[in-house]
Amino acid sequence: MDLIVKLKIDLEVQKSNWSAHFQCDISNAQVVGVIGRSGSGKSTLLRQLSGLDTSGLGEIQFNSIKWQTKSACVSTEQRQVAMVQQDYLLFPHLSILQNLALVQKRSALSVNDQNQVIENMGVSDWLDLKPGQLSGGQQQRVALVSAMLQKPDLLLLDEPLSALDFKTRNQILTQLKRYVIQYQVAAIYVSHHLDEISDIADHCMLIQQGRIVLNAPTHEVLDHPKLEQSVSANQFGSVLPIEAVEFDQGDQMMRCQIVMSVDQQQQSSELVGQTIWAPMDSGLEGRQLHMQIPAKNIILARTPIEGSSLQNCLYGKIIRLKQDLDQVLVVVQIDGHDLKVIVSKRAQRQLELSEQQMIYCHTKSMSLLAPAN
Amino acid sequence: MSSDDLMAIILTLKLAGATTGLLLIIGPFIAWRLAMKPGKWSHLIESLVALPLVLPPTVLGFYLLLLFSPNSAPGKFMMAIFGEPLVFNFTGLLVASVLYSLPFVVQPLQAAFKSLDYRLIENMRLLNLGAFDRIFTIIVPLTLPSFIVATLLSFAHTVGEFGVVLMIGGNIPGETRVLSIALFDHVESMNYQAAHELAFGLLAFSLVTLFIVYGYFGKKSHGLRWI
Repeated sequence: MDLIVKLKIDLEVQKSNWSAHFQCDISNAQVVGVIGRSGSGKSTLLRQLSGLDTSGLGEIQFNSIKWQTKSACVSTEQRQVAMVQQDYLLFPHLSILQNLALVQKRSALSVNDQNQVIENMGVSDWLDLKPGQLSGGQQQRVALVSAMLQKPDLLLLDEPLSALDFKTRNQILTQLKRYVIQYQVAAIYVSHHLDEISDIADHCMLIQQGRIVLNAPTHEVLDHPKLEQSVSANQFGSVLPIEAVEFDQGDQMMRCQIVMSVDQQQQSSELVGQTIWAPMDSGLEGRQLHMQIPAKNIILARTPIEGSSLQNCLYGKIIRLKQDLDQVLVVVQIDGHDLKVIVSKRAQRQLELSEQQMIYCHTKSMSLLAPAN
Repeated sequence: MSSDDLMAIILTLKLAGATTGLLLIIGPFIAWRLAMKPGKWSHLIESLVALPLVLPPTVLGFYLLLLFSPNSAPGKFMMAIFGEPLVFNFTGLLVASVLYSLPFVVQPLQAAFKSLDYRLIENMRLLNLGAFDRIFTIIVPLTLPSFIVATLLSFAHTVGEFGVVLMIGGNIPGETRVLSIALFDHVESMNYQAAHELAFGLLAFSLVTLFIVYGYFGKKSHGLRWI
């Protein structure tokens, strides 16, 4: 179900040394991801949406309610929003239980549902502790629970998992996904981590220097060459589902296999996907994980490269070529997944790359962003 | 100690208690407003609140006397509210004391509110907390040491009043004759023994109060360690 039937923003924000003009009109989305460099205006946008900062001039409309017009502004308290900010602070003098109780007595969730959320998010062991006794990541989780218990119309999340380790991040993200579906809550999700965005958001905005430059379904935004300017070079790329099959003690490397997409399984005679060797913690053996493969770290070749230190060679079909000013985004389908590769225009001309062509994609093991334990 | 002196002590404690009680209701609102929403009039309000710190109390007392006089228009208005003229009685003394001790409540609270982390204030809005929770679950506990300092200072300062009381209260036993006035009477009538008893009592009380304020709460008044 689409919970954001309409989110219309046309807002100019003027700060002393910085200005922004946010314009977008989103309809039919539930979770909207927001991507952008530090300082591009992501947090500013969220604070304007929350009503905590009303310095912006213009209009904000959420579904049928005009939160801000040129002449009037709905207060934070009236907007039915919940927000987890990056540097969220719990009330330091209250225990976790008391912090949550402040929200619980106003919650639209039933007591059973409330307890379920607290349980699922794994904070029930800390209820008697004070915030100061928890780590930053634990406090962040409590803040997230507090926001979830509010069951707002719109959940505003500004890097809500930034202080969590990789493993916990995935667990919490899974719970958050379940929550927004089960309780039908719309959300705006700001993150630097493209894998989080691709995991949870169905719609996505890219912000550059105070302007919303892309506003489209997530898979389109994540494939767009413009994205590369907004995420660190080693982040832009693809996320492939893999299974860590076997750890090689001698080489301290994990043999992984790509988990085929469902479509591919039906078409292919093979049961498992191609192999990737990656440096990884031995404890991950046997688990299904997501492997980030930076687009700039892939070498394309018409024939397999031999006699080199390249450890990984994946074979696939080019399904899309996108020209940008000085570079080309090549999307190669490997075991049913899109693998994004960025090459120079010169390389594309020399290799005579074209769509439907079969190609070998090489990567160094060390250039893969393998999940940590 | 004479029964007159005892009456003066009881009256003083009653006045100081009532003044402090009223100030703990009025003061936090003024302090919150000044700390959170400073506007173009804030400096004027801050100056007015701080006036008793620098003015001779007799100046304040003199103008209050004129203001409260049943012959003046404001005096008539207040007579209509309180049912009696505010000069030379306890109610007038109470109103004057509230004004006189206002900075001792507003200033420490204003500083404490200002030092609250703005994110906590924002959280109260985001969580849509009710007024009771905002005040009694969050703000007062987080600034409790400053509330205690404000209470002690306002109480002690009212006990030590002299000039204002003399101007608008006069010297009516059981009604306006507070400790400092009684002490003044003893000195005027050369009864130094009785004067010593009251003076030393006041000295000891003030010293102990200030010692508690500076020694214990002074260090902590802007934020507590919770763990």
